[in-house]
Amino acid sequence: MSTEVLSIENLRLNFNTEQGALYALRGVDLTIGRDEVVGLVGESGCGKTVLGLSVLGLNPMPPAQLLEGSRILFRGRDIAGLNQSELTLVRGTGISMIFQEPMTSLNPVFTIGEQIAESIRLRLQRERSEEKSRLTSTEVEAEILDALRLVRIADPERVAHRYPHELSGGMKQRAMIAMALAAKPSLLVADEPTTALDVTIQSQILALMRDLMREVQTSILFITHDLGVIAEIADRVAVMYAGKIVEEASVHDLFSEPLHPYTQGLLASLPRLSELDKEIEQLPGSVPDALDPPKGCSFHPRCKHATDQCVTITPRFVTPRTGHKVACHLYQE
Amino acid sequence: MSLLEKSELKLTGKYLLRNKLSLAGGIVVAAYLVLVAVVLLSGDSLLPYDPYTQNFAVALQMPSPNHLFGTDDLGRDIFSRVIAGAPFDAEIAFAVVLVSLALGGTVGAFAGYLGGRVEEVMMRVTDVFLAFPALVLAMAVAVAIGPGLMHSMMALLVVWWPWYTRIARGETLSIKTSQYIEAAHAAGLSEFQVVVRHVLPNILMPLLVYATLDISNVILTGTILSFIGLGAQPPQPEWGRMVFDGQDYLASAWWMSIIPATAIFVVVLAFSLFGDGLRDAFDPRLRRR
Amino acid sequence: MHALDGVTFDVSQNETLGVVGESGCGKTTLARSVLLLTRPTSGTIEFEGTDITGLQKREVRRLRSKMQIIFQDPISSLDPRMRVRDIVAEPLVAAGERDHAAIMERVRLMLEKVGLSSETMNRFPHQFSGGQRQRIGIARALVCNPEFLVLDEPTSALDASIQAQVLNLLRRLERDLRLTSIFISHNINVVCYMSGSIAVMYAGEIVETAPTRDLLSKPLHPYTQTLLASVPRTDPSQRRPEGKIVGEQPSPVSPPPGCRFHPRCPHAFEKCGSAEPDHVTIAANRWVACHLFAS
Repeated sequence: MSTEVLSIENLRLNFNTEQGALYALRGVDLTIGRDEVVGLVGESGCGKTVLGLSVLGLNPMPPAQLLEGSRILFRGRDIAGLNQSELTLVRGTGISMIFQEPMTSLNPVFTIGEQIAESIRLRLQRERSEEKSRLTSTEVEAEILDALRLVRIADPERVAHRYPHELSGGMKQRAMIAMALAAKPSLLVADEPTTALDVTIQSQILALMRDLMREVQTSILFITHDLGVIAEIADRVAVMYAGKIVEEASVHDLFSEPLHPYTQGLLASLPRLSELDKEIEQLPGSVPDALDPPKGCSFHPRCKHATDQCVTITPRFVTPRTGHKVACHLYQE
Repeated sequence: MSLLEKSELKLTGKYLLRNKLSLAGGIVVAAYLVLVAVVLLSGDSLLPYDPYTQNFAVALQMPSPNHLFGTDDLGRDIFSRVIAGAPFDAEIAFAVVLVSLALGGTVGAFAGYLGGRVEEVMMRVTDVFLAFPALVLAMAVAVAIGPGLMHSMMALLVVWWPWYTRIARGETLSIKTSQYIEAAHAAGLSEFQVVVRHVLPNILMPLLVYATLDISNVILTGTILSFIGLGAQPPQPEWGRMVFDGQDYLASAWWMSIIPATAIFVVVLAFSLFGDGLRDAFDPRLRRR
Repeated sequence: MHALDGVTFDVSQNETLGVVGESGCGKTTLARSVLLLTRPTSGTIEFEGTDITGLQKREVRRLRSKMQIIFQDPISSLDPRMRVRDIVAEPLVAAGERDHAAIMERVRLMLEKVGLSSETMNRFPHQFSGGQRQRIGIARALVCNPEFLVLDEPTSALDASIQAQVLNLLRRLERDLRLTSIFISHNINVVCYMSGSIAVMYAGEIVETAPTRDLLSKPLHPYTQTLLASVPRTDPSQRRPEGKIVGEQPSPVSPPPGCRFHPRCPHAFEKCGSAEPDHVTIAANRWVACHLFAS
């Protein structure tokens, strides 16, 4: 049995719109191991949210369309082609997902406790098929309280009986994490979970997630546009641009020695408290149109190192340092 | 200032074309409007028979190659009368809708934007008018100033414009909090200028769509008014009046009432279908198919 | 409900004052109040030495050409049915300019200044990207040569790489046009990059104000310290352990008694729960509202 929880191979996904095909994902390869936090970072339109939704088959098809040769291996089993009813068995128990806006992801007419119970019951369905014993309702209640305590909610009894609108933003996000983890998934896909939160609350949630990683055996695919957040939480980072991954490395390597010009540009464009005098570097141009991405390397129109090769030939991945791969002609032999 | 950008027109057109029923409705609407224009421009010259000439010799004849829709009790050719009568309801409908749109739309926009007391007063006045059933008021007006096409149009105008005030106010409220309205305010425009430059152009589309659907309502109400004797007066070949005239002959010469009634039905249905399609085409959520 | 409670500050000419705080702290209300887009319930606003708080609507409108605002949302801050040239020309039209040719010339100049070609004049907002739309908003705000500018989260809705472009543009413009501004954001990195001095807001009040460098090297108010400590740094070797900060900002409807921060403050003592702290002047341009510093 492989140690990989998730292995995405050559994932290609289009959206068929009135204006033509939108190339959302153009051949993505990514693996996530056990007990690992993989950060997926990129700006709007790069495809990172689409990738997160694809793992759980949550992109509406049509208009989305998965192309031939795309594989999503979850614990060794290809889930890319599964239909909706087969996917529901994977969702919530094998793979859980949390979203940016807890307001819209939590059902307003059920209490927090009831919603967590739903996750627990789904897990029981899976375990029952593997011939484990059933839990009584008191045991379910105990599990709910455990789940809430896990996310450091001080008063789990009270919170379990509350409705989502009675909780603050940070509490709602903790409740979402509790719900996601109550199902004891192998993989948690988190799509911008702290973006809508204030920075002081965000740092609490990130610290919580880091601690939880040590306690439960769940890998995390953490999707965000915020490089600072990635630095706080990820073990490995993949940088996305125009539907492809352009660089992948351990978090320390990526920040200390970014290789791809896009990564370098992105890091340089952040104002830093330690260097307020210098004008921050800006990347020229803007994110390419997904309907008509540039040929060759999609970053070449904005890249100061671009050569003729970059305009016509799509760069393949090379590994200039161990564990650090980049798709850029600068590093080809 | 643009009401509709080219790309928006293209997408709307594409969507409309795909919706078969709306398309059918649209074709009929177009045919009807062409017909009305032709009649207004050429008078009675293109008609096979004069719509007013009586000829008892050929009274109450069934539809035949000579008289496509048959003849009525006074020997008049129904086909010619139906064609000649087309403009009456169209004139009332367009006049009422356009004036209501202009008046109601403006009042509603100002009420919605200014809020407070002004809005209260305007909306309560609107409510008073909305409480009147159109027919009852039209009857009252007819009693007061006498029956006739013009008078029934005025009666309808009085009761019709408040609906547009309601819609315009609703649409205004939904865009009132947009940042571009705030930006206009911050730029130093007076409230009047903000409403005229920003609110009205942005609420125009939904109002126009409603107006298109509304035309069928006005046509119907207009024909009913004529049916009960308050609108067009004989010998005007207005369709509602013609239905009334044929009542006594339903058993023997059914074509006198049924033909004009069918004409009314077809036109009203066409406007409804077309208006529905237009509304769906403008709804951005439904367009993503 | 007191969205803003007893806020006092001043901005010197050619300076940029940064206002930083989390959602619900009142910074947006502050932006609207300073420009009299929302009427303050009490208090005074002085612009160039004159009290403008009590002015009539017409007089306020006349002032508008001198004080402008740049909004956060590039999508909804431009009228979708107007061409760019009319959008940018609007403050001039509002100020009573009638010469159409002169107006358009000014519009063209302004668009060039923000890096957009004159071709953009005849187009509609939806034909542009977020960053370009924000530039149009900047051109609109500057077209009538205002002296004072309020920037309400101008880059929060933009991607990081575009944000850098727009921030650099703004810095250059502020310098070249000698603008006095208030820069509002929840992102402390951005605020510090753009401002010479900073005011930190919490629950409707300013809790500390200082020149940027001083605030960063020695933040005094416990909330400021928390805020700075919470900002994620782009350095994985400096990961923070779970902070001691708990709870969330109080709602403006029912703030806690005494110092509004006291329920979450690691240094709170008895007085903090009963008495509201006064402004304590630390240095020439620096004060803090905290009992820890009261003499």
